[in-house]
Amino acid sequence: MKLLRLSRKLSVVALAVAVGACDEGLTDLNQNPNAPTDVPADLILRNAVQSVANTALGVGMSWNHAGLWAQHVAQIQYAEEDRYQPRVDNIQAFWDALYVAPAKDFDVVASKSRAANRPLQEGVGLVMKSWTFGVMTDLWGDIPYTEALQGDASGNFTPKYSTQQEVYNGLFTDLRRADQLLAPGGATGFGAADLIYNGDGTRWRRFANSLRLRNAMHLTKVDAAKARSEFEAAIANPVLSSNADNAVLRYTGAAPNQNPFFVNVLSRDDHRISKTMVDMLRNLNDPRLPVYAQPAQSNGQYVGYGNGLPNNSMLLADASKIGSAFLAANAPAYFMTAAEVFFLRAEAAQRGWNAGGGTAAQHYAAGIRAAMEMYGISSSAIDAYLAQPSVQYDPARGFQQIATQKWIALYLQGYEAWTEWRRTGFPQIAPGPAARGPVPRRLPYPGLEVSLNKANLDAAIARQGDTGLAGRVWWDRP
Amino acid sequence: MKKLLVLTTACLVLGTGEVWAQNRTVSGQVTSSDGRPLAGVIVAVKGTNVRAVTDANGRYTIEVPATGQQLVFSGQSVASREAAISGNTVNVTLASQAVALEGLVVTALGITQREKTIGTSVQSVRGEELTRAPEANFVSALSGKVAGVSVTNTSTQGGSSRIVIRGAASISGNNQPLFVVDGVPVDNSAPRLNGFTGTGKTQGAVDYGNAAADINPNDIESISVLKGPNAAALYGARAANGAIIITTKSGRNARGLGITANSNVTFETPLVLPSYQNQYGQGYGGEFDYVNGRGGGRNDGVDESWGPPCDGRPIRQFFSEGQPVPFVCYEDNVSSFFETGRTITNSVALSASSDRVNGRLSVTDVRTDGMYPGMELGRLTTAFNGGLRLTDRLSADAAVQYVRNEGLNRPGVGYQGTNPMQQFVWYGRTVDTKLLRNHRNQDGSQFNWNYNYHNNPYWLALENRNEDDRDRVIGNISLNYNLTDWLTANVRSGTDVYSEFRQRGYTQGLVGVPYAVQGGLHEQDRYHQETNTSFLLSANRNLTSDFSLSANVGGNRRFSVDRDSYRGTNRLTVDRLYNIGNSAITPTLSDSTLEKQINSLYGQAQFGFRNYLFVELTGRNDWSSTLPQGNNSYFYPSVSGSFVFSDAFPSLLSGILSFGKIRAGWARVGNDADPYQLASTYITGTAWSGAPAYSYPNRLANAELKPEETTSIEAGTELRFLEDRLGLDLTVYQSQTVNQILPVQVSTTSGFNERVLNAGQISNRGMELAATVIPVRLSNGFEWEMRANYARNKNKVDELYGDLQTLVLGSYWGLNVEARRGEPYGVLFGNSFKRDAAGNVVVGANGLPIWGPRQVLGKADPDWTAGLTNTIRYGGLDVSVLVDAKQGGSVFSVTNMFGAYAGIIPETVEGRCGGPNLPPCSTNGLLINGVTESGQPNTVRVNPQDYWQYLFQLHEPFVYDASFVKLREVRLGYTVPGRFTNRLGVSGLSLAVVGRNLALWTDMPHIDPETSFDASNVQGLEFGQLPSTRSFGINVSVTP
Repeated sequence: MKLLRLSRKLSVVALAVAVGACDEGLTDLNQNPNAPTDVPADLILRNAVQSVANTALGVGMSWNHAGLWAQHVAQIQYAEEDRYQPRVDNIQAFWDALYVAPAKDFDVVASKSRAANRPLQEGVGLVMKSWTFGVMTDLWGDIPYTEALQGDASGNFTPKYSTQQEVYNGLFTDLRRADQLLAPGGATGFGAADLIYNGDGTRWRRFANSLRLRNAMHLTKVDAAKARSEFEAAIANPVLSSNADNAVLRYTGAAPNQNPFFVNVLSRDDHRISKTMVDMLRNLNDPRLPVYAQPAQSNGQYVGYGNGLPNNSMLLADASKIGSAFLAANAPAYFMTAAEVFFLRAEAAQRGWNAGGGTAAQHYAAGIRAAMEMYGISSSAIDAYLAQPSVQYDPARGFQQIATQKWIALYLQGYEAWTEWRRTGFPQIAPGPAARGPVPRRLPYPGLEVSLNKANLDAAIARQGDTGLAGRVWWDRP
Repeated sequence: MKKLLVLTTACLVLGTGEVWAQNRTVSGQVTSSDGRPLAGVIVAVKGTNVRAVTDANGRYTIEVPATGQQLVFSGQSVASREAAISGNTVNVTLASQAVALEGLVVTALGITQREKTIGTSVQSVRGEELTRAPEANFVSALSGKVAGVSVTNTSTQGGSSRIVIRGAASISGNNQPLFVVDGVPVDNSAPRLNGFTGTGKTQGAVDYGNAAADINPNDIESISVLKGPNAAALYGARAANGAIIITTKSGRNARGLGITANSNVTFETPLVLPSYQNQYGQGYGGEFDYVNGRGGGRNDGVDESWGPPCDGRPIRQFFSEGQPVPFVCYEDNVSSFFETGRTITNSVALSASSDRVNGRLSVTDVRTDGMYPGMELGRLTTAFNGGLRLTDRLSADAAVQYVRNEGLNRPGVGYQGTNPMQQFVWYGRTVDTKLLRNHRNQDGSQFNWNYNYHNNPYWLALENRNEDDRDRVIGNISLNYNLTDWLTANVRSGTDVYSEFRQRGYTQGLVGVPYAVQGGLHEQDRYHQETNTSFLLSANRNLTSDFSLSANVGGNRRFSVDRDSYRGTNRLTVDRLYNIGNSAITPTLSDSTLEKQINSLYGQAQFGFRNYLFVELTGRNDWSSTLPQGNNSYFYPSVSGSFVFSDAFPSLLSGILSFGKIRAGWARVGNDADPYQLASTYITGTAWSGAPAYSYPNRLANAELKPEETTSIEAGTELRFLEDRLGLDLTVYQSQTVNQILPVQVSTTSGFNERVLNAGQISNRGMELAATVIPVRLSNGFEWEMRANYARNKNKVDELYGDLQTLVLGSYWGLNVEARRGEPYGVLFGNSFKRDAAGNVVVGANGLPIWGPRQVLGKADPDWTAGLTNTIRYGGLDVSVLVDAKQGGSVFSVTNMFGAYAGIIPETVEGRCGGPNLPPCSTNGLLINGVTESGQPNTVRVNPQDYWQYLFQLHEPFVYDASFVKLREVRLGYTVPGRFTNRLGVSGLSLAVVGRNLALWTDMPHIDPETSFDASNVQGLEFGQLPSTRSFGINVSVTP
């Protein structure tokens, strides 16, 4: 009897637990209360624009790599990069920070917008994706592109590397499509979530075509015919034509929306303006010198710091810091400016291409004017500057003048300044005395690709040859 | 279905029982060999689970079922013995014994088993072994005491300890064992600090310690370490890494009213600090001249020590107000920053027992004044443990402890500005620390030696605020009902709940602290709760005179919730007002909730044959909330056996062998995922003027996860010789974990950083040996006992995913800690020297070594660990000494790398040259021992500054063998004899002098090789380790 009661008790308990074990509630409990599984495209755009600016226009790129190698700035201590010994972690960080967040995010913005049948927004996504991939291919040459970013869609976690030519063709296609998508103009609907143009589709279209101009011009050495045809196709459409058109992220100045240069100098003091830049500005009597540089602490003069100096060569107090306008919390970050577009058109005209009207000299002067107006230089000072024989456009040395003025105008937009120096060779830049090699012409591939995508990486290296700092990307010809 | 099957089987087994029989009452007294009554001795009817405990007079009464033949007496510090039941009175005398060689051990689910019946490896540690030389963190106190248990302490006072049993099994998950207190699993989480500043919630990188350290060592009766999944199959997935089963002290052992007071005070000093060179001072290239400390003078912004010789030449310095003063080095400028720490522990325990009620109440207070200026730690534990015998059949027990933890001014750790050791790695050798003590200028601003990179260390310690507190309750109630003399039902519910507040407040004007740009405040509220409710039916009976059975069937529901809420700002409007409302900017907020539930059913059955052959089967099924519906149920079985051949063949018991047993076991344990792994989620991005922003997920989730699976086998033997004066316990084991739930790193070109998969396999195999020897035992009471343990583990990552060769667990200064296919888990992978075929370092034309390939430079885990305790007792004297060792294993020491970069360590003195104050490098520089690319010996001398700075991120020279031997514990105790204590009016008094970590033998330069950033899986790294503590003190214990 007792045993019977006992097993009855047992069954009751077993039943109670059994019911618990099969509880549907178990699955419900695993709904994540902390983060969303989907968000609208505008919230993604708002983040991606900031993250790509911080990576491609921030301290790492403009002060410690590309901008250093373009000799806009110099490192005054822990100067490994200025001696052409970049730290492997940083190369990896650029790669990851460009692919995972902005490239993928802009791709998602475009695809979500396409799915929702919002062509203007798709256009915005394509422009920013193209801008991002343009930076990447100019840094690394062949990169995963056509098969990239498809881990979720196709399960491809080892995308093959596209040749740089394929990447450029893809960028041209996307930018042409962006132009078509954005052609109706008007409001994109992104509104304030669009930190660059505040939802102005008309300006996005100008940016799309201007970016196509830039990419086309990069190819002058490797495929001049393609360069010309893309340029002329793009210039038939509206492009950036005044500083009001500039593609710029205007930081609010309130944390966390602060310029990365500002954030850096809060806790560090590792950089000065380069001697190369100061000498150039001084030689041309450039009124931007007091904007680009601060007076040296010790003597009040504008003194640049040499790139790649041995330790202990110069007192820090004797060299000029970077201009305070660039170090402000709300200093803007430029993706592309009208000044650059004028210089592109000047070069096109000089080459005898259709530059959308105007002469090389006109575009050259307009470029200088736009670049100076960005920093509030008075029109009389600009006129005086332009009137100097050393500045006045001289077709005989037009390429050099255009490239030089563009290099000055691109101050602290390090990646494009370095790219154009590699293409044009102007201005003349020499390695510092402590440099361990020639001026870098590309970034090596990051270390983790060796572990994670080896076969494709090996193929890309095999077809490109030297992929170390001294190697050249496809468009970079001696 | 499976669960029903288990239950049905259990019912059938139980249902074959016999008819009810008559009980009889037996009573008696238990005394020691010197005639003292022994309280707290467990009296059990052999072959049943009927138990009683002796009272203060050593008396007991027990209801013996009709089948009962023998009583088993066992207790603390006495030799167990059995006695036949003859008549209604059984009086026994028990010999005192320091080591209870044959005893009862607590195994999974709190089931007490006789050691000899167990087929797996279980090792016990008595509470007194933990408090012999006091250590506030009991996990740390396990160092060297259990074979196969490897404890790694972060050196920070009050910091966390990592414990791993038999090597790491999980590639990305938790590798530490489950902690269980009186049947209640307790949390042992520790902050993951990442080595750098930390991110978000961990900004400021403060090591708050591992949560299990809340358990007060003084309240621990005993610890059973269940080493493999075999022993832990019944605790579920979390015990796949083993389990630490803690039984707290209860009143059962009390002799009437028992009062014990215990006090100790210890003093702490740094065990290891780097050695420094004292020939060259602050500066660069042999030059230094101070103007403003941020580059205004010659190299005065430089924090390194490549300056002029410190030979007293006049040079302007940070304190000299522009006047040249003698330039001299200060040998003790780092050590003098640290103060002598002091820890005072006071505890009082009251206990009482009668035949119906027993209870123990204890209060323990531990206060530490740290070696770091201004640092204070406090822990107050109040514990109550009580039992009621409500009726002859029904009893109830409850245990509850309330723990209050407080920390003030814990230093930051890792590579960041609030860790004082970060600065000391760069600290100018000519900086006089005494002068920095006065850390404010007239205007209240910071007075410092360098204004570029560092803060005055006293400013950091004394002007910022760093506080934390944690209130925790761990408790359980249980009801026991004896259904019959062989069947008991138990229901238990227990919870571990705490809430914790962490606040880090920073003053304005700090240099180089990104989370305190203009003042800063970071606050975190944490809440943890885990509740387990379970039932257990236990049957224990002899089936026939040859066969016995003990069986347990139970179920458990575990629910846990973790909430974490963070608010932070790196700008404050009003300096030193630490309220988030005072933020000058929009504060960063984050919030998370993790909930998890697991329902389980389990059963265990042990069949015995003639009391020498035992076979045990277990089975458990879990249903987890974190796995996909339909795939969330997993069953895991185990089988083990024990054969006491010395009982089976008594003829073996010659004069030499006194006990012999072999055992073997096989087990499989499943493991589920963390919550919310099934769906990818967007990442909160950087809000723009408060408007939200998100980034696409960078971890690709997997909706079809399966549970992980660990399979292990082990075999062992226990042998005792010479009347138990020599005991050996040897275990060999092997385990494999497959289907690991793994966030596999993928090429970021796929748009993701990682994706979650079931992949990978890790195997561990090894052996453990524990030995007890009593070399001398004299009739006058003199006894010398040695307890040794040794364990070797070989770990290998057999497979990751597909062709994937490596998975990076962590990366610092270009050195990765990786799970690399074919290598042990946690190898150090980094840059090496280029070498020729003969192994010579290849040197370039500039006289500097050429970098070689990236390669495996070491592994974090040791090859073997060992501990040796020697104890001598004579009369009231006892002396014990514990030495422990780890052999093999490597550490990448960034203290050495930056110490060399900064020119502060003695290695950097040789060949100083260049600049106006030093001889030329061409003749006096450093000659690197190596060959040129053409194979000729190197002849080019270099500036040592260039050489040592060139080695930055060339990891090979800074990866060291981390083997060490430590004099871990020393105790010299004296128990005052009764004839004196009676005069003092107390019944017991003992005094002891104690020391911990008194000496270290190692080849590791400048740091303690026992080191880590945190208690995570990323081990084998050191940077800016706070000095580990050498402590020394006295202990007084009084029983009034």
